[in-house]
Amino acid sequence: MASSTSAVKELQRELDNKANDLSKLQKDIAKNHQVRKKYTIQLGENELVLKELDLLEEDANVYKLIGPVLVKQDLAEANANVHKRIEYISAELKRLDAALQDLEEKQNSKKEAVRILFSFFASFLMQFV
Amino acid sequence: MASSKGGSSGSGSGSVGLEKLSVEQLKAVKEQTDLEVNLLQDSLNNIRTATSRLDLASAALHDLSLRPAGKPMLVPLTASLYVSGTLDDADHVLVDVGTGYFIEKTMVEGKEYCERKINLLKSNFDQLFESKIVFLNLNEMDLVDSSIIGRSSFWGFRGGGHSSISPLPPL
Repeated sequence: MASSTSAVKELQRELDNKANDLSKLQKDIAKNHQVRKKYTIQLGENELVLKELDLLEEDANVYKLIGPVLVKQDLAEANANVHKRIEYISAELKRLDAALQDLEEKQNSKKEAVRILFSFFASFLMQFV
Repeated sequence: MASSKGGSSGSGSGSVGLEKLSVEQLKAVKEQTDLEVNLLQDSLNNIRTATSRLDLASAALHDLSLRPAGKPMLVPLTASLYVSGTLDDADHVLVDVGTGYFIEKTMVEGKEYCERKINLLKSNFDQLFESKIVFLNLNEMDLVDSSIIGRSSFWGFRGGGHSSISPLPPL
């Protein structure tokens, strides 16, 4: 009887660990969603700016807000900056997508593991009923 | 941008077989749809505020274009502190296009910018509104509601309320 109670405890600990891992993964996924949302919004804003810049004449005056000051900037330079930023954000979004897929795969396998462990645990307990 | 995630499950399963779903599943479907509708409603509200702000800016530009250069005016430094000044250049305005970029435009171009943005927002608004209608699809919601109530009374507890059975993990 003593060995079976220790086995139960062992199983329970393992189950707890797995459940913790699972919730950690789910938290990571939620975080990923949040960050991705932020980047998507920024990407949209940058694309709007780019569209505006494309409409301008060559000699238009463009200013960049740096802290509290407006600094005059070349149209070409501003264009290049926005392009670079869009590239960066797109790359970042792609990276986040890959990370999310990875996390979701991990989550699914963890879920399966928890499920198996739980059914094993339940059938183990059934022996004593 | 609002309907990027989890949008397909609600409307997809709606027509297939609501009658066959369990109470728990029906609740989940309803919650999902509610969430989606709320999200869309928020987005619609945001678009509406943005549009009204652009309208305001457009009106201010129009107002400014009526004043001749050199006209004395009071410039607000804070909400309650004004200093006197004169209108130096009535033809050029700086437009904030986002992400910290400002573009110098003439009065006419500035107005065009406002118009363009308002039109863009309007088309976005219409798009969102359509997808909201799809989601809202009142028949479906009613169906979900009534089948929850119907099923619930069958199971012997009150419709829509917090059920006392907790979902058992699948064995």
